[in-house]
Amino acid sequence: MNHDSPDNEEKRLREIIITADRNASQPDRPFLAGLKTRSTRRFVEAAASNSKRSRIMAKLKRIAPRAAAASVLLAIGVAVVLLTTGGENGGLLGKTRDLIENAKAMKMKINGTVEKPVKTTVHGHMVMATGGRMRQEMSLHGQKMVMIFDLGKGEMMSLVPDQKIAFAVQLKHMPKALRDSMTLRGDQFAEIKRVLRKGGKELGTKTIDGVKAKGYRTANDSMTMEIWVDAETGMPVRMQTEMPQMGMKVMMSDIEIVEKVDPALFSLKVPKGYTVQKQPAISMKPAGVKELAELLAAWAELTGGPLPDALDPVLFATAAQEYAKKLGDSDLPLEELKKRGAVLQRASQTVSARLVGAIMLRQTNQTFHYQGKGVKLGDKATPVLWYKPKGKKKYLVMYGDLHVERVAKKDLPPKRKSAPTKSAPERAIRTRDA
Amino acid sequence: MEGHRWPSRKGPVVDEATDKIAEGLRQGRRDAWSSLYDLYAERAWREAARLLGGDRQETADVVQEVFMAAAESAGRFDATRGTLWNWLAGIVRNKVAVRFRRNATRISAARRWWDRMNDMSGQWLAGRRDAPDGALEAEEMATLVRCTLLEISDEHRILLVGKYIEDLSAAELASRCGSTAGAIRARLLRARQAFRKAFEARADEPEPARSKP
Repeated sequence: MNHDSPDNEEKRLREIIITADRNASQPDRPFLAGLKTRSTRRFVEAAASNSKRSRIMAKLKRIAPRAAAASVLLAIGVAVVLLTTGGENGGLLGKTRDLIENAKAMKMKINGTVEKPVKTTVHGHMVMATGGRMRQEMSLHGQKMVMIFDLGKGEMMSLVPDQKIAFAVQLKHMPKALRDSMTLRGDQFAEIKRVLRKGGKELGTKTIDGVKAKGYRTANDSMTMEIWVDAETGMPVRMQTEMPQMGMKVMMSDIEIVEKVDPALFSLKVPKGYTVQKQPAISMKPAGVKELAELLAAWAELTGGPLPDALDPVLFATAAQEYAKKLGDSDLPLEELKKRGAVLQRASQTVSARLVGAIMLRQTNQTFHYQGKGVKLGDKATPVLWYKPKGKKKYLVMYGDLHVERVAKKDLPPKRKSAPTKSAPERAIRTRDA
Repeated sequence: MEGHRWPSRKGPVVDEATDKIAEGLRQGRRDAWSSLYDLYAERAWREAARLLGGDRQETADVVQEVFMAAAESAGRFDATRGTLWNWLAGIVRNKVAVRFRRNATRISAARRWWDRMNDMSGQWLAGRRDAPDGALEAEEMATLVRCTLLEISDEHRILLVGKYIEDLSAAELASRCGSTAGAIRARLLRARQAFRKAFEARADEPEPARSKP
């Protein structure tokens, strides 16, 4: 099209564009003066309303990190998984075991990934020390969280540095095996050592971060764990756990054994300037049907119907944060915003409290099976989970309407392939862009 | 806010004064609104007037809608997504576009007028002949230009209007947009290309599909 010079083309476009200005009226100043008064009044009214809105939003923003704190449970889940790793093989990793057995503390990088249904990553650093103490500095959806565990004392604290909020949580009903491994022997690394003693399947040799490393793998029904150690020194180079049922991988790298660690890192004293929010105690007891029903009902209330794709803390943290963000961007009236904020808060607390029990049940009871993905709350025909309580003959099967039936093993429903569903909250929220 | 596309911010904030206004709006301060209004009310009027045409009453109605809507959402203004003027100009564009949609007859008439010029219009746009007699003075031409200005991005419209209607230099536009003169020249080139492409598409659009802007 361009057959003339750029200058000519620009001149022609200028001639064309300025036609829009022809006959355009000049500003009507008296009108604009009146409009200033009217629009100022509107601005002041809107500002008052926005101020209330801001307070509610600030509250919602506090709920989202609380949900994110559920990612802490991921770490607990990993610890529990390590506990339940089975098998007894020869000690192929003597040097590594010696190194860890003599260590007072370990530092490492953690990268966790949940693949399904939406890829979510958690990354950060972790310091573990004897006596069941652990400090994690993690980032989830750009929100920094510091989590300090003292499993010996059964206490945990989450800090949100951006908002100067501290969440103090008591861990109740910790299983004896877990407590023993953390406290009686004073040994944070008991489970890693146990895996090392078992040895596991040799994976051969490969170079990791410039180090020639030998790999070993152990597995049970719900997870696999790989440990790669320096072929010469026995120093762990990388540890990776994978839980296909949860679509989750946790990789620990840049592992360092340290002689001294600052005890202040594990202090449960609230830092200066932080506001403390006491949270309901988290029970580490494996959930029963009542707790599982509460968990599913609260999650479905938040998402507006469908049951969760998996009983996974990161999935819940993602859903809660997305929901809080959608609320913030919405054009909902104040009253509705308050109502939905209260739903989020209530659901968030219930799910956080009950999720641990569900994870503990799954990890300690191999008969547990969940298949609630895509099922609507209230669906009385579709079984969503089942398990056989220890010491009982029959299975408990829970349906979409949360009623429970006792059935023999031969009468268990078939495991089904899950229907696709959205992970994000489905509740319709009109956004401001509408 | 107001459903318009926020232009991406590619430079520093225009100046400290507008930064302060933006902060004041977020805090709900009356004086910030007053400053915003004093700074942009007449400019918003001119923007609306040139996009709408000559109807003074319609311009007043649109300007009123613009500032009432802006007053509602000013507390949520996000400076990371664009300048204050880009935000306000986006609201003007949306309000004018709503009116344009209601006035399909005027756009159809302009399109037919363009068709009647046969090859002359195309040759003129391609630089192979001068403007057909009376083309630049015709109200239909102004209508097609307004339609096109409503169709291109806020950023391109603001640049083209600033350069060719308000007669600002590249340096002045750079200061207004928080950019550099060199970058403005490059963006102006893209804005002209976007305008020409949209204008040709609008003018040559078959009759049944002409439901926008």
